[in-house]
Amino acid sequence: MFNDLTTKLADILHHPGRIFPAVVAIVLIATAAIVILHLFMALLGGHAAKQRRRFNLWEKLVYLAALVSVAALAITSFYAVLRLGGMHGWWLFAHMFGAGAMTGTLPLLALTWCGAHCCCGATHRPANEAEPPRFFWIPRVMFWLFLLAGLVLILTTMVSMLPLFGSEGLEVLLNLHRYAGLLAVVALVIHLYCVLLQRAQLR
Amino acid sequence: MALACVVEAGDLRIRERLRAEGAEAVWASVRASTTDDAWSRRAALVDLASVESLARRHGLRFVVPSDPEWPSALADLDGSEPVQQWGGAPLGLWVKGSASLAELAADAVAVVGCRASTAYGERVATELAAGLAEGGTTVVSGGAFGIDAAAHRGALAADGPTLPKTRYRTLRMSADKKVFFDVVKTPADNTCYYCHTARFASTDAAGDWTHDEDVHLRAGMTCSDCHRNGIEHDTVRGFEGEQHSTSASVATLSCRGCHLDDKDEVARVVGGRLGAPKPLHRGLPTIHLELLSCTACHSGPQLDRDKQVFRVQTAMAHGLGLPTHSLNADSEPGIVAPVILKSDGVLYPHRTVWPAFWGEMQGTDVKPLSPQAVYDTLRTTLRVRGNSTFTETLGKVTLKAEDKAAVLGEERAKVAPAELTADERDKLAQLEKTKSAETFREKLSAPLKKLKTLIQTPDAQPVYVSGGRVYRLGQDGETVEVLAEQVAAAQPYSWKLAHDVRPARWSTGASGGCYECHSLGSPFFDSQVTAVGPAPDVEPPSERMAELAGLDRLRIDTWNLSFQGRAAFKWFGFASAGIVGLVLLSFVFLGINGLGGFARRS
Repeated sequence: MFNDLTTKLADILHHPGRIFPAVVAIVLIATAAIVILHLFMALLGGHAAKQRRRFNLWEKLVYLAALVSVAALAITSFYAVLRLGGMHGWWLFAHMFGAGAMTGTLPLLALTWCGAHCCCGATHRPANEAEPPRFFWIPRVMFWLFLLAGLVLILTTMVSMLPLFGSEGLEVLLNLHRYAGLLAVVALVIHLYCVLLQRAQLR
Repeated sequence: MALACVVEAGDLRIRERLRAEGAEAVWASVRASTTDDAWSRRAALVDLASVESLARRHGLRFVVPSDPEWPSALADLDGSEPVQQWGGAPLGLWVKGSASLAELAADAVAVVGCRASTAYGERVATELAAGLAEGGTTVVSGGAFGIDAAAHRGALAADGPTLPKTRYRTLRMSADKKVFFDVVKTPADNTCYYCHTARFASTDAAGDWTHDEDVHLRAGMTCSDCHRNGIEHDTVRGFEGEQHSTSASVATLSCRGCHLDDKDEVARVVGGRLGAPKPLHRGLPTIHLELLSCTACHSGPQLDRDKQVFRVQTAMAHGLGLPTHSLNADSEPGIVAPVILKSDGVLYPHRTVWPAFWGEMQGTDVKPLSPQAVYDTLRTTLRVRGNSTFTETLGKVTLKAEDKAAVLGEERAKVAPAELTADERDKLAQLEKTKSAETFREKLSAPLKKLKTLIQTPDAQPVYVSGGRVYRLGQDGETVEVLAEQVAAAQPYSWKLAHDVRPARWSTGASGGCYECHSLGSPFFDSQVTAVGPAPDVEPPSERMAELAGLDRLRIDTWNLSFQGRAAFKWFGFASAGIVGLVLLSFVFLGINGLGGFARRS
């Protein structure tokens, strides 16, 4: 019994790609459940809302571009993985173009929004001390997680295009790409939820 | 009978003991023996009642030397010299059928030979045995593959009596009575080549890779290293996912099973047989290993830069190695390669042939007529000479002076062919082709009319199928027309190819990278596959390789187009990653600084 479990675990660790569809389904359902539960609690009147500075048009546009590109990538990859058994044909093609868009928007997002998500304490706060931070801690953590996952996504894609790694190395990169993609989607979904929560003055 | 179940036929040790002790005493002794020898071990497993019951069920009887139907000629074996310590008459013979063995053997001829026989040898053995059987002579042979089997086939085809003498070792049989022979005695490659080889027929074939043949053969391997035989020549083809009829695992006999690893239903297979190198496939996205067979990049002729497929000749279709083999590139049947086609969702290189036959058509359903009946009916109408081909007989034309003048003008038409320009020669060749096609159709009318006598089905009509087209008599019953719609029977037939395997450096993509396939107009997707057949055709059906493989043309073209900006995208991607990385790094430092400040304030 123990040996069987160990063997199965070792098999999963050696082939993380095989359990990816199941992991995607579980993680997406769990994320949705957490968001809904939190929203329900917020509606019941948890926190007192703070007045925070609004976003300008450029910030909104960049954020929207990032959202659209990530949504395109998530749909093309997760739908293909969950329903079609793998990414081929037009799905792969659409994913590739979504990746191009994300590669462009990610540095813009990083440069535009990084200041608002800084976890750098009082010394680097905006000059107006009376103004509260633009985001509470969860969206800040999610933003940096999203950026980190995005960096891994871009690097795994780019490095795969170079004649550096063989089939096994590429398989590792592909699995890194898969799980980093899932992390990026979850982080952005939660971040978006928090942004909307703040806009609705529920937080 | 019991002794025959445990002792190999021809074992001299048993002969001596039988002479000295008698059969019953020897059996009792063997059965009671406690020594750990082969006879004792087998004797312990023999269940005589079961053997007798099985024999009764299958209508078998066991004939021993004292029986009246025992062939007396077998006694000669007892007096003959042993061969490698084996010899003598058998202990008994299993007989099936009502005929008397002695009568059958009274007028018998033995036809025996080697297992690794040539095609010619088998043909001779078959014909010899058939001739003997037709004359009422019994054909005696072993049950081995090769000449023996051919002799039996010949005798059985002639409905003559045969006496097979096969005894299979039951321990080698699986529960479903199948045997997998993992060939130990390696047949010489030349024996395989009689049936399994191919050569380029086109003069411009083979591309740049013209030396070293197959890398495996050059490395010292033989055909049977991968293509293991079973009984009845049930050879392992070596393609991925192949299931052998014996249920034996053959996964390591495929490219992937040997060089990478594979899974079959029984167990995981670890690659690396015979020191096979594991390919790195650096920078090759793993999706290629899902969508392409190994042979797609590593086998067969290199794809032609002019995007044409090559004419090839195969041993079975063109009789390579026989004196009658024609080196003419246009000799029929016209087989072309490499044609990349999908099989079970994976792209494989194939050889392709277009059917050419006389048939009867009802609706759009075409059935071939018996070749012998067609030959008997048309031999006088067609009058195909021995030194002339069917195409030449029906379609050969000699351009007249006025024909040439109409194309080249009066002056140039008089010039010797060698002095004509390439353009002029092309014009003449095109004209000859057109004339040839017209002549062919004119001459095809007579045989089609004659073949009406062979048509038994009401509403059916005789047709000739060639090069993807169907020719039939028109409404007037005189002129020949080509059927406009596609007919299934005229569609090409393809089979996978795997040889020759090219060296790694010559595989597709090794030198040109991604762009060798993923560029607009790449030979891999854009090669034209044009139908060939005996009927001359000015514009034969032609299709792009990708479409023939059932690939979406728009998707392939769009995908390949996207590779135009790939190099720029790499720079863009790394620049983007660099900016994001710098931002992350900066804010990690700021975060650490902030934590320090927080700690100080606390």
